[in-house]
Amino acid sequence: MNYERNGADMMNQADFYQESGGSLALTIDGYLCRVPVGSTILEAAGTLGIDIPTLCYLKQLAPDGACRLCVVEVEGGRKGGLPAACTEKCTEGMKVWTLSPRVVEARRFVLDLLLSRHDFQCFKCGRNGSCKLQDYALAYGLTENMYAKGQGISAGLPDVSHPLFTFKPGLCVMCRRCTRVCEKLQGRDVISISRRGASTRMSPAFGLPWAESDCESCGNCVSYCPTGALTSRDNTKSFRAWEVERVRTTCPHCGTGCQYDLLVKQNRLVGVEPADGPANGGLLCVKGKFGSYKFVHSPERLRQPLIRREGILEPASWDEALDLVADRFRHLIAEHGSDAVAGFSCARATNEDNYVFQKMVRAVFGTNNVDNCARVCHSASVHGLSMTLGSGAMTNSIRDITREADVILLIGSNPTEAHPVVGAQIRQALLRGAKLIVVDPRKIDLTKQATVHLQIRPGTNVAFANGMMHVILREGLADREFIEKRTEGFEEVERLVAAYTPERVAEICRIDPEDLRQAAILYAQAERAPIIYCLGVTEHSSGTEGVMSLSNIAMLVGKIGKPGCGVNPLRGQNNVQGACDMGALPYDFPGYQKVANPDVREKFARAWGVPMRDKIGLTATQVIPAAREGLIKGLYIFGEDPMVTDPDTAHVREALEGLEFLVVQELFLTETAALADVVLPGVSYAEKEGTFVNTERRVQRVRRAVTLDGDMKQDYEIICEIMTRMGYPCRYESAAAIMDEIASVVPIYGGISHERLDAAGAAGLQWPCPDPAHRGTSFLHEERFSRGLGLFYPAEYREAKEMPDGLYPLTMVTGRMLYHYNARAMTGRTEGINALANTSYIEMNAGDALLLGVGDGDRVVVASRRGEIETTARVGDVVSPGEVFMTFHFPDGNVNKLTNPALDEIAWIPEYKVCAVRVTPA
Amino acid sequence: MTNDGFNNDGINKKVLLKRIGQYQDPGSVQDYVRLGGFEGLRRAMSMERPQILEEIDRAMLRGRGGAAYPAGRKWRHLYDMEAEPKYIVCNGDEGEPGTFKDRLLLEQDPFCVLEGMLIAAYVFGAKDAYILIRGEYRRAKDLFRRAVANAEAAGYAGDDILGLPGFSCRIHVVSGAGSYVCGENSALLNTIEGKTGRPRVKPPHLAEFGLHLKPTLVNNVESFACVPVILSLGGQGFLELGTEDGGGTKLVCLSGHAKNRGVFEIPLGTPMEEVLYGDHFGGGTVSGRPIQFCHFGGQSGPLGFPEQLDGLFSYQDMWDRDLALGTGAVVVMDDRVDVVEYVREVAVFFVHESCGKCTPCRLGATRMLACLDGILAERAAGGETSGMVTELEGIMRHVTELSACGLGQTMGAAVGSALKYRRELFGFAGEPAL
Amino acid sequence: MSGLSGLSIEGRQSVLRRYSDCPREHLLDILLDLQRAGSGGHIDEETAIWVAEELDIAVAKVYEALSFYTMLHTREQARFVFEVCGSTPCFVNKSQEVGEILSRQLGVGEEQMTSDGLFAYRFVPCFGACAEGPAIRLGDELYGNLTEKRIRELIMACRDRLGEADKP
Repeated sequence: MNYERNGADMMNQADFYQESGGSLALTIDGYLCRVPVGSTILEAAGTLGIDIPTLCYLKQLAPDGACRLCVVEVEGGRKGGLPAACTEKCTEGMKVWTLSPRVVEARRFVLDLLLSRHDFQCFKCGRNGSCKLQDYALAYGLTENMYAKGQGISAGLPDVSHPLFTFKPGLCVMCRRCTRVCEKLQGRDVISISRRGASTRMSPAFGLPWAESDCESCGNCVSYCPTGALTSRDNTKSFRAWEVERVRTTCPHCGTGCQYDLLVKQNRLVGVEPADGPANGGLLCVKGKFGSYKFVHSPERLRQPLIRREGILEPASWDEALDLVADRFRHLIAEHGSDAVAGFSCARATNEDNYVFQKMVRAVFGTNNVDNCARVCHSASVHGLSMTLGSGAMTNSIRDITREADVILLIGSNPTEAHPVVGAQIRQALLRGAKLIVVDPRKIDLTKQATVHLQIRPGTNVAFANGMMHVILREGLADREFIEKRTEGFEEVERLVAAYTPERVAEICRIDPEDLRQAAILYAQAERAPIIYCLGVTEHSSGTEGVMSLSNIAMLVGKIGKPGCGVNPLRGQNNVQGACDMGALPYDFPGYQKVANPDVREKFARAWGVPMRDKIGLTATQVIPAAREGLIKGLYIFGEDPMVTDPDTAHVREALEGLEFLVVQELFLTETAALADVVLPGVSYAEKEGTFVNTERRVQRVRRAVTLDGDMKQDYEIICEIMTRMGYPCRYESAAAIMDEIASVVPIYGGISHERLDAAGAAGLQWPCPDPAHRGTSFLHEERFSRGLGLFYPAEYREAKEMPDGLYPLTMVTGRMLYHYNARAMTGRTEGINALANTSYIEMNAGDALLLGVGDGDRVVVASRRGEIETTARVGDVVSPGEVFMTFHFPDGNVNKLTNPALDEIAWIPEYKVCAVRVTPA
Repeated sequence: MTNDGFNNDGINKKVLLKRIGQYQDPGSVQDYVRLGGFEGLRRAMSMERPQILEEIDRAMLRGRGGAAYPAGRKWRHLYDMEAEPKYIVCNGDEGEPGTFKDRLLLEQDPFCVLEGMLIAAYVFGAKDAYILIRGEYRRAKDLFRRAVANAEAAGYAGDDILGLPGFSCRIHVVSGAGSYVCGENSALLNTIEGKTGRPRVKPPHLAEFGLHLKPTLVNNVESFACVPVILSLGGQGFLELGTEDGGGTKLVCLSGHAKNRGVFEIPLGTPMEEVLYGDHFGGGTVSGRPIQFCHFGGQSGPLGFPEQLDGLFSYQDMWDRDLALGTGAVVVMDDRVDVVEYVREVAVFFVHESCGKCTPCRLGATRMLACLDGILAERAAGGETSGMVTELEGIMRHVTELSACGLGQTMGAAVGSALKYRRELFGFAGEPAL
Repeated sequence: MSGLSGLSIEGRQSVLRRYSDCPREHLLDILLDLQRAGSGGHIDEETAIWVAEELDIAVAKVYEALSFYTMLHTREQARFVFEVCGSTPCFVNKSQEVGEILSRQLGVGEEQMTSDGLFAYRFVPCFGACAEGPAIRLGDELYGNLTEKRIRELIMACRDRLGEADKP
């Protein structure tokens, strides 16, 4: 392993010594224990259940040996010294005493010193009752400070600049966990250990107020601070540790699937503490830590059904609303046929909810017109990888692609903003010496650490991929054996890429041919190299081909079917993987069992007691134009907001307004819900039991933490009610019972149950998990591909559907930013986050801006063939000349009024990433 | 050249200092060669490496930076390491108050240090060698850089040294920026790596995981200067210049109230009395008043009172007398200095220089100073200081026991020795608690 | 006082070029050289950010170096700063008196700048001039065996030097 970038502090303790294997025996407090060679005294004591006090020690980091609280006495050890248990290695026959009088005295000394410069304000402090300093002061009998009469050391004024947390240096014990977490786990390094000696102080560079620093508000320093020095504002204001209950659940934002505990005080969510989940390793991002609970109690929550009467939405009773829905759908189906109705399922809701929803559409509505928002983000991955590899999901796991990679090929993905905890783990990989290749039209944050940045023109992914393969073949770096044994269709691809010389690709993509060569060789020669990609690859009219070109590359060099490799799409939503797994798709039953397959239809007909249609349904992106044409009359939208998130808002509005009947089941009165005929109030992830599936196919538990007052129903209950009222009685005892049914009809979920997931120490289960004894699958395609042989797919480069021209000369790319999640339903209802980022903006190239007479911060009008918006310019060099970038989060400049609904022909995914616009000063 | 505060008369130039003042230009390779330079390197290159290690062992060269660790053992330890590459690092961060011998060598005979580093590079196959010179020594830094460039130009450094293919070593000259703790070896390596100079967690030790986590040799400037001498005289010859527990000559820095202040080269084992009072050496005090006490070995060394000063100036003999040779600094104080005020200034130094990483040193140093200030005030008012003295002893004991690096572990040495030998001066008589 | 180091990009680049081989090793060399070459005897925020970018280190780490080391400053310094050794070998040779003399002659206390921004003094730890104590560092120059007269001469020499530099 290459540790050259950082010194000894970086390494984990066990890494210091080669695994010489073997163990040794020592005694601690008279107890014998046997531990692996290389263990520290602290670790050995842990195996005996002996708790040695620590302040600076953190399991995920190399020990710092700074606080000196964990000192122990070693018989015959260094004369006149007490070693620190966290750094001292065990030796054979060592005799350790953890509570000898000398040790106790030493610890009292250290604590006394710390207390002597502590700003006592326990009553005001958020950590009162959960503070290590308090605990140890009690344990070591310190009732008053010995040095009270000595000189006080002023620590500096509190920093209250940040909207989400505060920093009080007077409470700091200089354990330096915050800076170590920031530097080594988050990879951000914004906290300095400034000055020296007793004046040492943690602070952002130049002593700037925290809010003005480069801090990305992940809150990990806050989570790991042992005292009240760094505390979240909610903690200080709203609760103390003894008042809260902890409920372990999964984050509702992105597909990383971080595990954390919701803190509940009297049936109200008051905070979040990270947990050591397999995907997040104890880290969270700003959205998970601070933006995942306030919205639950927002006064804007829908609390009762609404029915449109005389053009206005009015409160109604459940019976009225449910009867109306059942009635109208029955009517529409009777008059116009089953295919005149459709359902959009919710990629944020649980697997159980999704399963029941698509069951309603198929078994009760009698159509396959069901889809979910994967359509607009990763449907290309699902289709593409299914075709080439046999399975549309991420091939490896987050942990192995970050911990075991030597080179990472990152394309069309901005993880430090869109999947921040994955981004942090990538930064950790880079700190360990891994190399990074970034392929992206923008200078994303990670390009600073990249070995190569291929700043390709938007929409040219296929050309780039073919170019990579061309170079790899030319350099003789292809894995011929792998191609021979494990794949088919290679000859055609080999012929096709022969024409994609570096020079030709360089011209298409506007890059340097040398950079392409360097990237290809770096990737091919690496021992382990994963491809990690995201919407920059999929959201194109050639999106599916873009994805398949990536699996081509991976198969070409045999980097698939083993750890630290593979083709890895980072799924966007918290449960978009699950929504797809559960068959909220027009051509797949649950578990990707094909609608087209008569045996599958037969199986589900038996399971659900009704014949299944063989007609493949419409995708969501086909439903919208179909609705405009009057072919779709009734639409049930569950937890989706197409008015904000689908391209070409004007046409979406037309489509929805043209429907005869629109039902929206939602948490808030969104722009889409505002157009509905009936609005049904759903519940959030914190109010239900169920499961989410993260991007690495890991099924993880979601647990109910609070229950809102009033007559709220579980989402699946609402759907079951409608099914029942439409003549298909359906009832489930619990979400667990739904999962049991899922396991019975979905082979890849065969071994999954709530019981298994609730077992002690469970870390979720990665499908395929075919039976209850199976432990889940960490990476796919080990011996054989899911379809048998991997398929090479030849794809020629095709231009995006709308290229810049005289009228609309700039190419616009859209994407995400760190602080908000998609439509901001949750993050937009957290004031602290809004304080950090609240308005839309457009990134422009400095040269372009100059020519257009636009300065940084100026208001501009952005127009496309679909519409026009006004926003603020951010001028710089993140985007290339001729290109602009906007996020899709902010309603004050909804970029989807401009985007192009042109679709990919295989996956029907819209081309969000490329359209032509014009920018003028406002 | 003017007397830069160094005593340069012929009597004191024996082995290490024999070239001082003989140069037209201390940066000139030709001058160095004319004065017998690079003979050690030539000799080393004709020997087997294990032979060289044996000579260093036999010479009983103790680390001249203060720790007095036998260099032979350190070199052997590194030799046994298998990982590559290996690095040579010279510690030129001379920060101990009262010590200025490295400054003399670097400003007036840099090549002897360079030669020692090259011999080490030869033994360990190191392709890169570093010297960190403290930021305040501008002249030394500039001169050493020039010396390195000249050595490379003349084939004594860089590629294929002295025509031997494959023997290459690049010398890097890195500056410090004003921090005593950077003289601690692991902090030094951190500085070279571009990080803040705070010490590292130990284990692992630097011989195994040093610079860039590779096996590294760290030795003091004077230690490296001794290496060519060992090669020339042989290990036995070097040993015989000194004593059994420490071979060779030592550069001693006399300052304070000494009549003759400066750098003196003395064979180890010279009687202490001669060092302090001999005409060619300290010459007693400048005021003519009696020596009340001396501070040996740097700020982190103990004080020595007259009853302890009747032995030899050698490692073991001094240890036997509760003294420490350390860096070879001897600060002489006549009877007008108040011992308690003196150790209070020592405490001020440590408060300023503590890196702040570990609790006992970071906060203990300040407490120690506060205690001493309290004792001084109480004593002046004629009050009772016994409680404060006990508190002070407690603090010192804990700081020594618990600190993570040498700075904290030795900050109490001066105070401790004063309390042991002159307790009554603290305004309190009685048995020491230690 | 604008607080800027006032060094042009070209000026900074020429400093960096001296250490183009392994710039990160020479972080302190670079910072000291930039400090010396610029005006104000310090490193301002802009320069620190520039160094961080050029050396591919976090800004927070550059700031750590600036705040940790005695020779590096983040605030503008007086034109002539007399650094008096305050360590014990000079202490017993009346370094405190030197401080008092300076205070009298300059009319300011320790760490305070004279109103014309020209002079200040501070106590620093030992810089190896123990054989000539009490001693002062002024920039990179060392002056030992100080007496009141010598100190006065030094101050005057500074004013002269200033006069020279300001002549057109």
